[in-house]
Amino acid sequence: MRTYFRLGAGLAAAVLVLGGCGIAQRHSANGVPSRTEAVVHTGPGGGSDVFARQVVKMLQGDKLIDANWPVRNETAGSGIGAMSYLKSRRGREDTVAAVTPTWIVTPLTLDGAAVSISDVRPIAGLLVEPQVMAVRADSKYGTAADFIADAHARPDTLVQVGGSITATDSLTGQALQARTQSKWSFLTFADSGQRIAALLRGDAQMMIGSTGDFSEQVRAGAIRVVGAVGDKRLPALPDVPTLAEEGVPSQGLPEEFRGFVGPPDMPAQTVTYYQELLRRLTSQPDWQKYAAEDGDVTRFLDAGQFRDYLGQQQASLKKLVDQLGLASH
Amino acid sequence: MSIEEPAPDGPIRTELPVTEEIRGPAEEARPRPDRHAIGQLTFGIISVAVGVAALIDAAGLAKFGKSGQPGPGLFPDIVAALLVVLGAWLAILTVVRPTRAEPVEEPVEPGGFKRAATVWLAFVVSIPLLVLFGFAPAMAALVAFLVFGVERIRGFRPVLAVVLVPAVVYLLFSVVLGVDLPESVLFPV
Amino acid sequence: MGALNNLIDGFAAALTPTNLFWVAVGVVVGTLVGILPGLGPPATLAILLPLTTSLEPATGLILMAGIYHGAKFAGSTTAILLNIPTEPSSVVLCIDGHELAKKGRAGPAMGMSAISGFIASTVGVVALTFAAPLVAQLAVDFGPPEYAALMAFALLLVIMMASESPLKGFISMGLGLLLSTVGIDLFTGQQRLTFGSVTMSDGIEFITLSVGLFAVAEVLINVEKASGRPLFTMPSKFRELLPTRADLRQSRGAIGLGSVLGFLVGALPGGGSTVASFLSYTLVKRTSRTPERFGKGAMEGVAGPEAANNSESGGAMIPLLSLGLPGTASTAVMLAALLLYGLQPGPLLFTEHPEIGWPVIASLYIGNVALLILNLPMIPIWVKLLKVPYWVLYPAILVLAVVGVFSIRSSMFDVVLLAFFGLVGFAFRKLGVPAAPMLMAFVLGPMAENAVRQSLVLSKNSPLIFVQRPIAAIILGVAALAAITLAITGKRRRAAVRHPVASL
Repeated sequence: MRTYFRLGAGLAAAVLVLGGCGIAQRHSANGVPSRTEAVVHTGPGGGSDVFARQVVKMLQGDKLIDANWPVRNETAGSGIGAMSYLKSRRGREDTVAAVTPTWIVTPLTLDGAAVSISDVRPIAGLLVEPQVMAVRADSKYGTAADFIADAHARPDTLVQVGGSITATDSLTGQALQARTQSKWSFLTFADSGQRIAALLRGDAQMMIGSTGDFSEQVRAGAIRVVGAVGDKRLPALPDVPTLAEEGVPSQGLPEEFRGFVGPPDMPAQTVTYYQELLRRLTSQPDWQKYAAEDGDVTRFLDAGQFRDYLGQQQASLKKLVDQLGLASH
Repeated sequence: MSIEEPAPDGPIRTELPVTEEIRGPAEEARPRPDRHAIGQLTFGIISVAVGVAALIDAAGLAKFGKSGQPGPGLFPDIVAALLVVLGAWLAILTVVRPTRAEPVEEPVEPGGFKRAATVWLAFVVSIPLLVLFGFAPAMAALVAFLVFGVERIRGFRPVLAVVLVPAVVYLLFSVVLGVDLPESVLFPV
Repeated sequence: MGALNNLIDGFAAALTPTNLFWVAVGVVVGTLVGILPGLGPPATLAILLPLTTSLEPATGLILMAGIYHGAKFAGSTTAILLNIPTEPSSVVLCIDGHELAKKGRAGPAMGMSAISGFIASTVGVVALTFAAPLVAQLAVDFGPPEYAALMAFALLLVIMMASESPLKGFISMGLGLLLSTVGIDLFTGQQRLTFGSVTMSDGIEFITLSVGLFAVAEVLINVEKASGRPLFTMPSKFRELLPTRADLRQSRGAIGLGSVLGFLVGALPGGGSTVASFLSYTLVKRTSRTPERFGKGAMEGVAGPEAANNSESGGAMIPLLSLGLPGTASTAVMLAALLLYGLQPGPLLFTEHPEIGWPVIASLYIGNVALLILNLPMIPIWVKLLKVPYWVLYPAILVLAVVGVFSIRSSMFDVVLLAFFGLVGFAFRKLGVPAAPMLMAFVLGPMAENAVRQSLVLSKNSPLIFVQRPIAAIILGVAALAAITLAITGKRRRAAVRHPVASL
C-alpha cells in the first residue's frame, strides 16, 4: 500500500510542478472564443510552426490577446493531416490554422486525398514571402538570366537544390525551365539545412527560396542573391533586379504566402473577431520589424479577399501541376 | 512435462515443450523439437510472401526515371527481391539441414502461450473500445480484464489499479501536458 | 586561446543564481516529462517552448539545455527499466540495458548511462569549443555521396551485428528496409507500398515500430513466461545500485569510442543521435573481445551508445550555431527558440551575439553537471519502480504504449500497427530473430536511398561519384576493409565453434 501511496504522491507532485509552470493554460479569457489553438502542418521548428509561434508571441506582446495560444503540430501528409483535423472541428470557434501553398498543392498531387483547401474557412491573409534566386558568392552567374542562359546552352548539367518536388521552389524552377526551354536537375532534401549546405559545397549551382532562408549567409558573404522572382523589386534587397527586368518570363509564378484559416462553418462573428485581431496586428511596429527582418512583404487580406486569393492560387497552381505532370490521376 | 492445451492455429506455434534439463550441457546433443523448425520454416515462407506482395505493389512504380536516374520503384524492388531470396534460403536450410541449435527463449510454464495470446487479443479488442468509448473507459476495461481475468488477482489492490492507472495517465497527459488521447465517437466532448 | 577565454566568459555569464535555478528546474521537469513514452527530447522541448520563451534569452536557452539533458536521461531510464524506447536514440539501450535490469543491475546501468553521458558531454563541449570551425567545414563538405558511403558502412555494421544468426539478421534488416520505403517518395511525390491507402502515405512511425517490437513484445514474453514469480531480482544493498569500478574499467573504451563517434556524427546535418547511438553500439560490440555478452546484459552496450547520444548534442550545436542548420529534431526546436528571441543563428551569431552563443555552450555543459548531481541520487527511487508487482506494471506499460504511439500523430491506425508489431516482435523472440537490425535498417534505409539517389542526380547517373570524392572514398575503403576482416574472423570463429580444441 505504501508503494502506491508514494507513487501517487510522486505523480501528484509532478502534476503540481508541471501545472505550476503553466504548461497548459486552460483558463478562459473574456471575449468570443475562450481558448484558441493554432494548428500548423510542420513539426516544431518548421516554417509554419515558427510563424504561428511568432504571431502568438506578438499578439500577446501587443496585448491583443491575454492567454497564450498553444500551437498544435499536425504534421501528417504535408497539410492533409492539418486539414483533416480542421474538418473534424467543424463549426468550432477555438481553432485557427496557419496556411501556406502546401495546403493547396498536396491535395492536387495526392491520390485519394479526402480534403482540399475549399474545405476550410479563410480568415485572413497576412504576408507574402518573396522568392529569390541565389547562388554561391563566388559563382560565375551575375544574374538569374546568366544562369538560365547557361542551363539553356548546356541542358541537364546544372543543379537546383530545394525541398520536395511539389514545394514552391521546385514548381517555380520547373515553370521557369518550361518557359525558357532550358533544362536543369533538381536535387531534393527533406531537411532545409542540407539545402544551404549543398549550395555552399558547390553540389548545386542555384537555389530558389524566401529571402529569409538566405539572409544570414548573404550577410556573411557566402551566398549572393541574383534575382527576385516576383514582379517587384524587394525593399530588403533594392539592388537585386527582378526576373522580368532581366528578360525572363515570370508572370504567374507561384507565390509563397502565409495566412490563417479556420474550420469549416466557423461562426461569422468569430471569423470577424480573428480577422480584426490579425488586421490590428499587421499595423503594430513589432510586426513590421519582424516582416522587415525576414524580408517579407505584408499584404493583409480580409476573409473575403483571402477566399478569392486562395481560389486564384488554387487555379493557377492546378494549371502548373497539370502541365508538369505532377497531378494525381 | 509438455503443454496440455493444443496450441491455437496461427503462424506462431512455436512454444517449446521444454524440460528443465534442456538448459543443461545436454542441449547441444539433444535433437531440437520440430516446433522450432516449423516456426522457422513459416518465417521463411512469410518473408517470401512479404517480398512477393511488395514486388506486386511496387510493380506500377518506375524503376528508372526519364534520364536514367533511379526511380521510386528501384529500391523497394531490390529489397523485396532480397527478401524473397533470403526467405527461401532460410526455408530450404530449415528443411535440408534441420537440427542446428538456435538461441531460443527461456522455458515457459504450461499455459503460458495461451496467457500471452489472451493478453494480446485483449489488447486488440481494446482498440475498437478506444474508438467507441474514448481513452479512459477503454483502458480501464483493458486493465480490469488483465488483472481480474488473466492474472486473477483478488481484493482491493486490483480495483485501485483499474481506477488509478487510466485516471493518472489521463490526467497527466491530457490535462497537464495537453497531449492528444483517443476520444469517444459515441460521446463526443 | 580566444575560444577558451570566450568559453570562460560564457560560463561566467551562465553561472548566475537565476540561471542555476532554471537549469535545475529544466533537468527535473525534462526528466519527468521525458519519462513518458513518445515524449522524447524534441517533443518535450516543444511542449515547454512557451515557458522558455517567456524568460530572458540566455536564461531561456539554459533552461532548454536542462530540459534537453533531463529528457535524454529519462529516455534511457524507461528503456533500461521497462524496455520502452521513448525516442529513437534510446532503442539500442533496450538491448543490453533491460537485460541488466532483469539481472538486478538496473541501478548500475542507469548510473553508467549518467556517467558515460557526462564524460561524453565533456568531450563534446571541449571539442565544440576548440574544433568548431574545423567540424563546421566537415558538416558542409559532407554531401550525398559521403552520406551514401556512411550509410553503406552503417548497413554493413547492422549485418555484422547479427553475428549469432546472420541469415535471420539479414532477413530482419530486409524487412526493416522494406517498411522504411512505405509512404510518399520524396523525389517524385509518388506513393510507395501504401496499398492504395492515404493513411499509409506518411509512412510508418518509428515509435510505433519500436514500442511494438520492444515494449509490447517484452510484455507478451514475460506474461508467457512467468506467473507470480518476480521478474526482476532486486539488489538489497545500496552499493549495488551504482556502477562498480570493474564496470567503469570495462566501459572505458566504449565511452571513448562513443564520445568521438557521437560528436562527429552529430555534427553532420541530418546525422543525429539515432545513427550515432546505433553506430556506436555496433562498433563497440564488434571491437569487443567478448561480443557474445552483448544482448545479454553487457555494460559497454549501455556506455557506448549513451556516450554517443550525449556527445552528439555538442556536435549538433556546430551546424546550428555556426551555419544556422539544425541537424536534429531537438536542435530544430532550439532554432525555433532562437528565432522567437529574434536571433538568427548563422555564421555571424558568435561575432554579433557573443552574449548568447557562448553561454549556450556553457549551459549545455552545466545542464549535464546538473543532471549528474540531481539524478544520481534519484536512481534508487527510479529502480523502486521495478518493485511494483508485474500484474500492475504490464497493464500500465500497455496503456502507456497506446499513449506514446497515439500522441505522435493522433492516429488510431498507428495503435493497430502497434498491436501488429507487438505480435511480430513476440514471434521474432520465439524464433530467435533479432529485432534490432529491423529497426536500424528502418532508420538508415531512407537516408541510404535518398543519399544514393541524390548522388546520382549530381553525377548524371555515374556511380564513379562514390569513389571520386575523397571523404566518400575513404569511408568506403574502411567499410571494405571491415567487410574483409569480418569474412576472415567470422570464418575463424565458426571454425572455433566447431572445433573448440583445435583453435586453442
